[in-house]
Amino acid sequence: MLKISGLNKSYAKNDIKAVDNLSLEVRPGEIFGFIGPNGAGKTTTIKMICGILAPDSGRIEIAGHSITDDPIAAKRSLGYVPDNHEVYEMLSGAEYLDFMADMYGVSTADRKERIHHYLSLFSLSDAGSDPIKSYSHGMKQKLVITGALLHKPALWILDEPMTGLDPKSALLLKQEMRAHCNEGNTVFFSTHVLEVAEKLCDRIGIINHGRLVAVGTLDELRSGSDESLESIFMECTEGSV
Amino acid sequence: MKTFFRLMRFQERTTGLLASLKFMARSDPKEFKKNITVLIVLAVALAPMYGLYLITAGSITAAFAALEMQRALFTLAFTAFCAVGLVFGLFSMISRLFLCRDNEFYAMLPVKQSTVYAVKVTRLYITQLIFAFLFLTPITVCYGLTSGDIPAIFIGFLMILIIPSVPLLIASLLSVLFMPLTAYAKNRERAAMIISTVFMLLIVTGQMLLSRNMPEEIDQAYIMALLQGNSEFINSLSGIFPPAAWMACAVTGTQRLLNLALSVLTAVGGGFLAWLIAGRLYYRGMQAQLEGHRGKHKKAQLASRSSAVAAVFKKEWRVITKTPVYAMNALSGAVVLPLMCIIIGLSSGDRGSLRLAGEVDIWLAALIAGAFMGFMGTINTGGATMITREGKSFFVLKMIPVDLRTVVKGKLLCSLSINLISILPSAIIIAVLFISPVSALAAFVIAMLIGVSDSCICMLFDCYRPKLDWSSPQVAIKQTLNSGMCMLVSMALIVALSVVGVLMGIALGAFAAAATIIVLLAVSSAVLCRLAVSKGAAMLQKING
Repeated sequence: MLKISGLNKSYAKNDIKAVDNLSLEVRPGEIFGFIGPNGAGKTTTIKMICGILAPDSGRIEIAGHSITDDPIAAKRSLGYVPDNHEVYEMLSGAEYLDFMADMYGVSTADRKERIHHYLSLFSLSDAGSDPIKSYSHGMKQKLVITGALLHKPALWILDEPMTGLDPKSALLLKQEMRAHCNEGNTVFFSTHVLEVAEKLCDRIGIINHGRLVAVGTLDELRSGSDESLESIFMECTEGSV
Repeated sequence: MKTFFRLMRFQERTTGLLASLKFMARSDPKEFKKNITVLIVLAVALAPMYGLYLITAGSITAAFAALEMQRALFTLAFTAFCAVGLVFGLFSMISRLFLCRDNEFYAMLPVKQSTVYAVKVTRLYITQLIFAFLFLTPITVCYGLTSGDIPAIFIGFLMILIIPSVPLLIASLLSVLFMPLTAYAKNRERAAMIISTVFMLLIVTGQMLLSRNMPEEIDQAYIMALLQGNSEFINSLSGIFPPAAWMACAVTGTQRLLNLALSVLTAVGGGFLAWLIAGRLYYRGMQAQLEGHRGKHKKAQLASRSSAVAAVFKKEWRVITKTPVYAMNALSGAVVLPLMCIIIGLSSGDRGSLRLAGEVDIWLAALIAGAFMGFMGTINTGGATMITREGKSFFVLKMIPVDLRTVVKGKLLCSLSINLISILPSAIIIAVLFISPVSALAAFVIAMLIGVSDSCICMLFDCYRPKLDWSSPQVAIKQTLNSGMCMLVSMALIVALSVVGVLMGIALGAFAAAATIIVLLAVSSAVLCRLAVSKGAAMLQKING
C-alpha cells in the first residue's frame, strides 16, 4: 500500500539531514506506528508522503502510484490528518467538509451519509454550522479527521492524532483506525504516546536523526526479550535530545 | 512607562518590518534577497512619482504664494491628510486593535489593557507619521524658504509631527465606541463588517454632501475668484475642520502662538483624552472579539457536489465574505466605484441632460470610461493575495488530489468576479447618467479586459512570492508588497495602452483606437491567463506547505 525507497530530504543547504535514505513498506490492512524523538524527521517524512514537501531523492508509492510522477492518483488514495489544524477558520464545519468532499470527488449522497455519520460519532452534529474559529482544539481535530475520511481512503495518514483529544474521542479514533484496517485499508500514524503504539499498531517503525533505526512487529523489535516499547525506544534513540 | 516601552520593543521584534527582514536574512537568505529586490524595484518605480510630486509641490506653493493664499494651501493640505488618515486609520485601527491574533496573548498578561491600546495606536501613529513627513514636508520647506520665514519650517515640522494624532484620535474613539456592540451580535464578523461598511458609506456620503455644496459650474473664473477671495475660501475650509486651520495659521504666522497652542492642545490633549476614554473601553471591545459564537446552532446544510474549480471558487468567496478585513478590502471597489459614479452624476445637479453623447465621440467616451473603471477595478487587494490568504492552510492545496492549475483557475475566477461586481453596476450607471449604452458597453468590455489582465498579473506575483506566515488577516491582505507591485504593473499597462490609444486616435480616429485597444487587451488577457495558470501552478508546486 505504501512503499518508500531511499527517501532523502535536507534543509539549510544540506547542513541538516531531515530524512536520510529512509526505506519502508506498509502492507494493506495494517496499522503502522511511526515513532521517534522530537526533530527525528517524522513530520517531514509524512509531508513528503502526502506530496506537501518534495523529496530531494527517493521514491514514494501509494497504492502503486508514485507521489511525484502521478500525484493526483496517489493523493486520491490517501487521507491526511496534520498535526496542526489551521484550516479555513472562517468557514463553518459543514462548508469545510463540503469543500473536501468536492476535492475528493465524493458524491452528494455519499457525503451526506458519511458527514452525518462522523459528526454524530464525534459529537459535532450541533457545531456543523458554526465557524471553525469557534471550535476548541479537539473539535478542530475531529473535524479534520472527518474531512480526511470522507472519501474512504485506502491509506490514512495521521500526524500525532492523539494530541489534544479527550479520552472518549481518543478511544473512538482508535476504534475507527482499527475498523478502517479491518476493511482492508491501511493506517500510518506518528505518535509520541508509546502505549498507544504498543496496543494499537501491527508494526512499528522507529526513526532517529532521519534514519529508520528499527522496524517490525512488537515481538520482532523485542527479539525474544520482555522489554517494553519504551525501553526499546530509549535504546534505539540513545543520545537524542 | 517601562511596560509601554517593553511592549513597544516586543511588538516591533515580533511584528515589525525591520525585525521580519532581519529574521528572514538569517533564516532564508534567498527569500530575503527576493524581498529586498522587490522593495528596491518599488522604490525605483515610486521615486519618479515622488520626484514629480516634489516639483508639483514647489509649483503649487509658489502659485499660492503669488496669490497670498499660503494659509489656504496649508489648510487644504492638513485637511486632506486628516481625511485620508481618518479613512485608513479607522480600518487599520479596527484590525490592529480588535481583530489581531495576538489579542488573546496580551489579554492574559498582567498589564493594563490601556497600555496595550497605547502601544498599538502608537505603532499606527508612527506609520502615519512617515506618510505625513513624505507628503507635507515639501510644501513646508518650500514655504519657509520662499517666504524667508525660517521658524515656519520648524513649526511646520512640529505640526507634521502631531498631525497624525488628530485622525487617529477620531478613529480610535469611533472604533472603541462601536466595536463592543459586536459582543451582542449573534454573528460577530458580520456585525464588524456592517459597522465598517457604515463608516465607509458615511465618509463617502460626507464627501458627496461636500461636493454638492460646490457650484454647478466650476470654471476657471470661479477658481480664480475663489482663490482670490481667500477669506471666504479659508473660512469654509476652517469650518469643516478647525484643527487643520489652526495648524495652517501656526505655520503661516497668523496669531502664531495662539494657534500653535490650540494645535498642540488638540493633538496632545486629544490624544491623552483618547487614551483615557478609549483605553478603558478598548478591553471591552477586544474581549467581544474573543467571545465564542453566539448564534443558535443550526442544522448543518450540505451542498450538492461541485466541480473542483467551482468548489475552489465557492470557498474563496466564503472566506472573503466571512472575514471582515478581507471583505472590506476586496469588495470596497464594488461599493465605492458605483457610488463614485452616482456622486459624480448627482453632483452635477440641475445642469440639464448629463448625457455626453453628441458632445463627445462615443468611442472616446468608451475609452475614457473604460480606462477609469478598469483602473479602479485594479485596486483589488483580494485578487492580489489569493495565495497569501491561504496562510497556514496552504498545505490543504498541496494535499488534495486536484491539479494546482485547477486551483489557480478557481482563484482567478474569484478575482474576476470581484472585478465584475464593481465594473458591471458602474457601467450600468454611466450608461444611464453619462454616455450612450453603446459607449457604456464598450467601456465595460475594456474595463473587464483590463481586469482579466490585472487578475492574472496579481496571481503570478502572489504565486511567485506568497507571504503565508501572517499573524492576522489584516497583515495577509495589506502588509504584503504584492498588492503594491500589482497596482504598479497594472497602472503601467493602462498608461501604455493610453499612449497607444492617443497615437491611434490622432492617426486614425477614436473608433480605430478603441478597436485596437480592445484587440490588444484581448490578446494580452489570453496570454496572461495561460501564463497565470501554467506558471502559477508550477510556482506553487515548489512552495513547501
